[in-house]
Amino acid sequence: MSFDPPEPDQSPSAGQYPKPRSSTAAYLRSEPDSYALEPTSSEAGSADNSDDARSPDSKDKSSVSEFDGSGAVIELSEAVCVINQFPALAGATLSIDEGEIVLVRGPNGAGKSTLLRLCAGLIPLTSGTGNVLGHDLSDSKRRRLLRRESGLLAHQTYLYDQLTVEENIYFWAKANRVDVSTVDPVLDRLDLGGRLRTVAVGSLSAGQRRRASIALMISRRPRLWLLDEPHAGLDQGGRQLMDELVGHAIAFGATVLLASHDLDQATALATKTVAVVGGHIEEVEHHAP
Amino acid sequence: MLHDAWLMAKKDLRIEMGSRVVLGQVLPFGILILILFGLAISPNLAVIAPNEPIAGFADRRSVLSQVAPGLFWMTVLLSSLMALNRSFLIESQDGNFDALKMAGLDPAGIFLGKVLAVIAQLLVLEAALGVGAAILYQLQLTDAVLLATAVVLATTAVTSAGTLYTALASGLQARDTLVPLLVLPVLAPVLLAATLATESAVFGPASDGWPWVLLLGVFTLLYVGIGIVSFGPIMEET
Repeated sequence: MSFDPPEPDQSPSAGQYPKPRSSTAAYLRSEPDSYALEPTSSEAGSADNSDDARSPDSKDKSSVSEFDGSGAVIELSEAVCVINQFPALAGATLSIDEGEIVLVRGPNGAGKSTLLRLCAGLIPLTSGTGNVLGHDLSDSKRRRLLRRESGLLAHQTYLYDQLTVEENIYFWAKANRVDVSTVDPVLDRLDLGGRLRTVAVGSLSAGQRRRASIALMISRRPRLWLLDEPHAGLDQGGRQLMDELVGHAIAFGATVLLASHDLDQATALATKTVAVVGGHIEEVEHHAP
Repeated sequence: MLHDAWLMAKKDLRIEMGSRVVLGQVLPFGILILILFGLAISPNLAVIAPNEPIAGFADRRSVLSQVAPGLFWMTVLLSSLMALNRSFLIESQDGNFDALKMAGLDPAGIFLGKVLAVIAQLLVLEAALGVGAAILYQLQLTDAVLLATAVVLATTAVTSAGTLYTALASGLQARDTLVPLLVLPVLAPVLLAATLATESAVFGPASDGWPWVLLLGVFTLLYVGIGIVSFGPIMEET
């Protein structure tokens, strides 16, 4: 077991996975396919390769997806999150259906990142009720299961500076029980193939680190995308790519909640906007399709 | 759990191989402490033996030899604090603890992986420090098996307890100063048992050392067990 690149003889056949694109531009023109964006649900177990078969908790992974697509993906009612004795969320009420792209806007410190972390299952609910992908947020065991189904693109990159891009992605693929051979197309799509694969993350530019972080998130094939300032640090091509990835995720049945100050770009993407002020969700605005 | 432990250990060791912090910074720190201990103890020898008109160089070496096992383990303890701190710094510097939680890795596996990686690094460190101590303090080994057993058990105990407390303090701003205050008292029995076992392995008789090895084994099992059980709740709080 290692997070080394797969040996040549372990590479998937051409029919099993898409062929690596020669350039990102060519990939961008392609139709969404099954390389990695299809969210894990009932097929979660198929993501494992023989080298990486799940240990005792494999049962947990296959039993994670209890959300059947009916009802709201995110349902919060008077949700309060107290962090370091400060109510970062002070009674937020929100309902988001499957397939929606919801923009969360608000000033700095309003509680946007806390809302995303709550929906990722990373922080507990202090009071109120919350249910995400069928998991009760007040139940710590359910929150742990929710984490496996959601993907959080945060301000932090979740990368190890000392490891190369490839080593990072393979490590996290192994940690997430994702077939490592499926992440190669993701790296190519994020323009991290070629020589960048073997560059230490600490030597990358901020934009390249952000792309690696995005690759890490989408290689997990989450059902719920939680994006905190997804366009930050990206060049124009990267921003467009981010939008396309969100579109592809929606096409495969994922739901997206994104917090952004880049309102022009994010509003064009969103089907609904909610405003967070002082830990409260004060306004919900629906956009024409 | 074992899959996750192996994955974490490999990752941590690969990071160490790339950055060489333990070999490049912690090991020189340890050797420096060994030298400084030697310098600090030497002047006191005249006070210890005031009736000797001239304290010979050989006498000073013998006094150093007597306290050498304790100095060696004190050096290992201080060096291990740096290695443990480093082990958690790489997880906290870019929010990677959150990613570990999101991945759903078994917390016990994360704990064991971190412990294994630090043990591997400390064993290399101890081998180098042991050679340094043997040269500086004029030591000769009489029972290698006893010494090896004591070193492995004591290292595992130090690393397990250290990993637990470093994880506990990793979310706090005062982590760097708090960890030694938390860890060192807990490791006092390990220091005592490891020192006495090492004394027996160096000066003999070896039979006197095995009860201390047994005690080390008990503490090792205790700390590893507590770590496996409690690392999950600790991770949730950090």
